[in-house]
Amino acid sequence: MNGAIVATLSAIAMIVVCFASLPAEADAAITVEDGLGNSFTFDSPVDKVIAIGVGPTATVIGVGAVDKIVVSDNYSYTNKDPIFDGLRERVDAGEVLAGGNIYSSGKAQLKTDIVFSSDPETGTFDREADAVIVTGSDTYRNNIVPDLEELGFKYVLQWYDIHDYEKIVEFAETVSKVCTGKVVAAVDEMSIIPEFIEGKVQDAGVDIVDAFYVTYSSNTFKVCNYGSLAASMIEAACGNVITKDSAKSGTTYEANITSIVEAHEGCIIFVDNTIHSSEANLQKLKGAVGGHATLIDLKPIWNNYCIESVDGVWHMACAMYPDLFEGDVPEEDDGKSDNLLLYAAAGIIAVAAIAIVAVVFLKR
Amino acid sequence: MHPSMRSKILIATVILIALAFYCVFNDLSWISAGRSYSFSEVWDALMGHGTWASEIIVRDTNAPRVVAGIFVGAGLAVTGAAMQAVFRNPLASPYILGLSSGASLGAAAGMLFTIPFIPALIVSPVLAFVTCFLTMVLVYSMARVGGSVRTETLILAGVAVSALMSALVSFLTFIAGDKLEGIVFWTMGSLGNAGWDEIAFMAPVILVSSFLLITQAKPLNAMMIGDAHAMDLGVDVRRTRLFVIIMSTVVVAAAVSFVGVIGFIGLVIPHILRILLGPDNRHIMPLGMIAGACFILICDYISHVIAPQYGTLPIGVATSLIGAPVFIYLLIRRKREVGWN
Repeated sequence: MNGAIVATLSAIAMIVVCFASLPAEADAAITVEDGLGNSFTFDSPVDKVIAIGVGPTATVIGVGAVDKIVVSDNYSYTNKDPIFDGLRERVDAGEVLAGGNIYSSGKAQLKTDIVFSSDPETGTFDREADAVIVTGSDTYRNNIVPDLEELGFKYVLQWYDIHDYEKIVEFAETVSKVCTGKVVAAVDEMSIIPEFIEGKVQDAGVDIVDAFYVTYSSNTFKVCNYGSLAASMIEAACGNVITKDSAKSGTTYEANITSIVEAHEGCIIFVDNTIHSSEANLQKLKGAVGGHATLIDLKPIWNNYCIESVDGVWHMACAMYPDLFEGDVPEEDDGKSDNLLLYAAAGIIAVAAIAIVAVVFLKR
Repeated sequence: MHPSMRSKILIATVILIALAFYCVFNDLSWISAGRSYSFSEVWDALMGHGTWASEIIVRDTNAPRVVAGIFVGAGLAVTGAAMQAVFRNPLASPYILGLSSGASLGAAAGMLFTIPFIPALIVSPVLAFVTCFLTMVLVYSMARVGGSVRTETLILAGVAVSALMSALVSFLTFIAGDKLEGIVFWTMGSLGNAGWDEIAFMAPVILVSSFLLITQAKPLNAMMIGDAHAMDLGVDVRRTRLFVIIMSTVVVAAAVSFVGVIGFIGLVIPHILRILLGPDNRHIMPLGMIAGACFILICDYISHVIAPQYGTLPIGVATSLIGAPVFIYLLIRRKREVGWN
């Protein structure tokens, strides 16, 4: 009897210890900094999110918080990438408003959507506790942010003109903490994958591949320069960006593709959506390249401040080092939650075994 | 006036006023796709008894757009009627002298360049206003031959200057960089660009200028028969024409400089009213103001509901999409009645 009681109490104690060691996600205070250096402290992960822009919307969805979105923008709603399917369903069901955008043409509707969702009587968004996440070009910041501040929105997190892959990772980490209380595995991957790529390339001892990014605007091809996000992603994928030129201003500049390719035979050219979505532009580029380089299409959502950019980095690595990398982005083995349950189960079995031994021993 | 014509005008006036009230409340009620406030909720919001959100949406977001639309629609309709009378051309519109292209050039320049002494916030509307006026002066000067101005020469000069201004706008669009979106959408028109500050300037200018245009309705009736006949009736044709052109330019400049180019109102509304009420500008011009306001508010509502997943359609696109088919219908069904012959 005494042995049975001891065994039972030990088992209960073991179970309590196991569950107590599960991470307390919801209750710890969260302090984050946005792209402008403003600091925000949340009591807990937010209940609702307003995500303005394709990047923040995709990132909120990517960290598993699509159900928290109450307002997005119409560019996210109409984006064909499958990551937005869940958002589209919720918009069609009337659970999310996504009629506006941060640009001049849509700012009035965006404000209307935000105000309607934040009505203290009929809305679900709490201006004092929930977060608004804004990204884009600094040119359009004043289209919505001053209005939000005037209307009493306390947590308006802003990022503008990100040109560096590491800044995208910081952005995704911040969004993850705000929405879930922690940095989820999908965001961890964003820093792990470039380290993995670099390690493998170094171990293999292969030559670093020459590459650059090209886009089409104002009737001409433009290549990436210092400050280009695509250039940063190529370097994160262990490529050598051959078009960086400190004598040129701007993150992209007009260049003669043929002469670049002739000087770097066999280089990889990452092609923007403005080219590969237009047959005419694509044929022009192919004519300029003439088979001396490999053209690789980039999805628009990769070249964006967004959790999906890690896919872009991986695909760049696969294109530049096909012998080393292939397939989809390897998923990080979080390990924590699966192993924890395993250990807890093993503990319970061990306690049960101890209890049986104790009972047998004490009965003698 | 014939009693039946009098009753026709009375009925038309009552219908237009009722329609105007409906259009105002309907446009104020917009929230998002599939969501609108009821008219009683709109009324409560206007009176300060609405919810936090309804008061902001109705009074701060929708009301400036609606009020701007009323004045712009009214102004463009009355100037359209005036221009059609002055040029004796049923295809004349408020932009016949290249005014829209001139205003677009000023607005585009304001978006791209920093102009000393003009605050950045108002540089685009100020430049649009100024260039609109300068375009009128240029066109009129070009058309002046020996102290007199022929309407045919005015129209041709307007076409030429419009082409030049459009080319310059295209050049500025080409070099715009990340300001491209602003220029393109300005040329398509947007009532949302005007806030209460802009309306405080635009409304009295359009109202007073439109009123002054209406005072010229009788001389314009005479000018529609021909300059010689008008002079026989005691109309100072040259002075009246210059006055009407200047007042029309003021209205167009005040409207376009804040909301961009909105077409077809000045072209279509006078014709519809002429078919219903006859060619007398003493009825067409004042009733045209109400009809123009209703038309632009209907187009504004449609621009919100037509493709909400892509955002709000620019108002200039909506007025053209609706106005052009209406005009084509009028041309086909009532060929003989279009115009005033």
